[in-house]
Amino acid sequence: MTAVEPDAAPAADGARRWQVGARTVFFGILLVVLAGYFQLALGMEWRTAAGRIGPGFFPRIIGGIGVVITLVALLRSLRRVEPESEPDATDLGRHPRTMAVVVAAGVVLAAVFTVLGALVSGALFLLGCLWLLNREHPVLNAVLGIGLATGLYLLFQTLLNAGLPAGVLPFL
Amino acid sequence: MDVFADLGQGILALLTVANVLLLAAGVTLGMIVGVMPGLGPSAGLAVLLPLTFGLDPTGAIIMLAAVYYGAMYGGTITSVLINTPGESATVASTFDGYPLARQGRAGPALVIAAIASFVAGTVGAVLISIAAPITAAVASSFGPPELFLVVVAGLLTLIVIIGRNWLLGALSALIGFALATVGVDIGGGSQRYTFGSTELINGIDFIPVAIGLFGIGEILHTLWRGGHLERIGYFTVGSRGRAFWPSREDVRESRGPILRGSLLGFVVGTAPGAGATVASLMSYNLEKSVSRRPERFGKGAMAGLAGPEAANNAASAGAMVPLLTLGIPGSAATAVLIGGFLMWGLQPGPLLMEQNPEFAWGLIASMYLGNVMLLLVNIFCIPAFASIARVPFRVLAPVIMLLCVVGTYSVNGSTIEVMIMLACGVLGFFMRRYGMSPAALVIALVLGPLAEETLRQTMIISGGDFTIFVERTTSRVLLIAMVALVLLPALLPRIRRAIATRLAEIGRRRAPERTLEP
Repeated sequence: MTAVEPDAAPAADGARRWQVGARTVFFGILLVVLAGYFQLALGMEWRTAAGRIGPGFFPRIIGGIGVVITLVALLRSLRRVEPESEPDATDLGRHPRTMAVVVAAGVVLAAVFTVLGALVSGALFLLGCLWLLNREHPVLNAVLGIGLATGLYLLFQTLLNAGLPAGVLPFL
Repeated sequence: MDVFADLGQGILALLTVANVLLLAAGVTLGMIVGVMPGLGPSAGLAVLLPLTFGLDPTGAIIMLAAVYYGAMYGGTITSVLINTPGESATVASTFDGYPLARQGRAGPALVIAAIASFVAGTVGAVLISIAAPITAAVASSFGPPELFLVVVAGLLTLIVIIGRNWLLGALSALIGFALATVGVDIGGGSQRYTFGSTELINGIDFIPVAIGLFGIGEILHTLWRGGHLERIGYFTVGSRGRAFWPSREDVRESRGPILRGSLLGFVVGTAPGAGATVASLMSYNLEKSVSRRPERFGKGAMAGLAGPEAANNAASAGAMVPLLTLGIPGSAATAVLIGGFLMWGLQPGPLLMEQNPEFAWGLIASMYLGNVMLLLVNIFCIPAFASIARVPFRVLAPVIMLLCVVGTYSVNGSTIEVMIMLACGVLGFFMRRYGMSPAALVIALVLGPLAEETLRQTMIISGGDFTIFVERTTSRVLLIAMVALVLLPALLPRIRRAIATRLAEIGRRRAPERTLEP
């Protein structure tokens, strides 16, 4: 759980600190992405030879404005002008690690989805995530993991004919 | 009258066994989505979109629309029972709904909310039957310049959606526009931002983005703030005893608020961007202002639940007018609906009612029948839905994530799209965390290509001359409307204050009358 940081010093004392936090990193990454987008847009035509709107017309406008706005947001985040929301009475802390593990599990699921098949990879994903989030009920987790993965597979494959990968279960 | 003939045709088109079953399934799924913690209507619609792929366009849109208004009601159940609104439009329902549940009156509160939703939904359906053809008739004379201005006006509604934090809202919309430019340029045929990938030639599909931003993004945000550790304290809904039903006093107290909320909600809902949240909060303030016993508000006044609930549902119907006739989504949920329209090759906008009358009127007709179903499902299944609200988030989260992955994969059988969906989920988390607007991104993603295409057509017509936008009368009218739309956020607080003062005066005048009553 992260400690609640004190607000930025009031403007009256004139001592505003510059601070690089997660917000700044986020806007920094966004700035790099949008700058790359704008750079590529500059290589596209603004107008075609026939005088019509070229493929670079919109991307240049979007990229140009995007870079300027992101830059402002980045500077604001450095000066901490926009305070983060305060924790309320029912605050349960912040859990970036749990969230990151679930995201990683999602990426692994996507990577092995066609190799292991929708049913097996889905069941493994559910079992893993439920083990992480709901450790008190292992039997329930096992039933839910296998049952719900099978249910979803049947729904999409049998009822909706979605063409899900069979993977290591070729008899499906 | 044409309206009756068209509506009759719509009802005939709707009345197939398959469509009625889809409608029932949509309403029920919407209710389930609504009561699930961490899923709002937009997330629910995005996640359920892949379920409709095997269906014909009419059936699919009817089902999605039913999910939309089913989810709007579902959120009320959690507002009343666990003091947690399913989404922002039902925040006002917690003010008096939860105190009613604490008094042991959860049953009557939910039944009144269901009746309010039904009345408002039906009033909304009647009004949409009248308003939609009129708007469509006006809009059918639009050429490319007007269509471009309509799209720009739709984008301007983002200003209203974004609210005070316009900088981050504008940035969200720009990211949406940027994503929309990926793929083949329609005008010249050259590739943009595809980096040689064949999977990106057709552009970034709307569905993975919507599922990621709304479905995965919401789940990650809830996990980050500890939703998986939450122990839900809820009030149970008694079975069919006498205490389950509202008393005559409850019904008498709710009649006026329901009617006022229905009309107010519809009008507010038709203004793109204002939406159900604004409508429900306005209705709550209105009812409190005109009430003879305003001191009861916040302590379990039935009028404080019935009015906002009616307004919230009528606004959802009202939002269908700009959606069907102008192709403008006023909220994240309607943006997902528009994505569904486009996916089935239906272009929402002025020509929809002319070119696909059976579809458009079938959708409107489904709102009448859907409301009846919603009322029945609500009243007879309230305890069942209440039990879904008890399923903890720590169990739901992985299941919804798997549903998102399977649903995204089933669209085109593409693992890259699943990765895009997950990336958008992470982006959606950070956007929520840092005050950006996923709704603005999705609306820009939907409207961006339309803006580019119509501007291109306009420039071809005018030979590259921008004065075409002020030469045509209709364009000029639209430009004036757009200026009003820009000024609206600045004027809205003043208008709201003026109305509140006036209503408070009315309330004060009525208070002495109350004291004279026996």
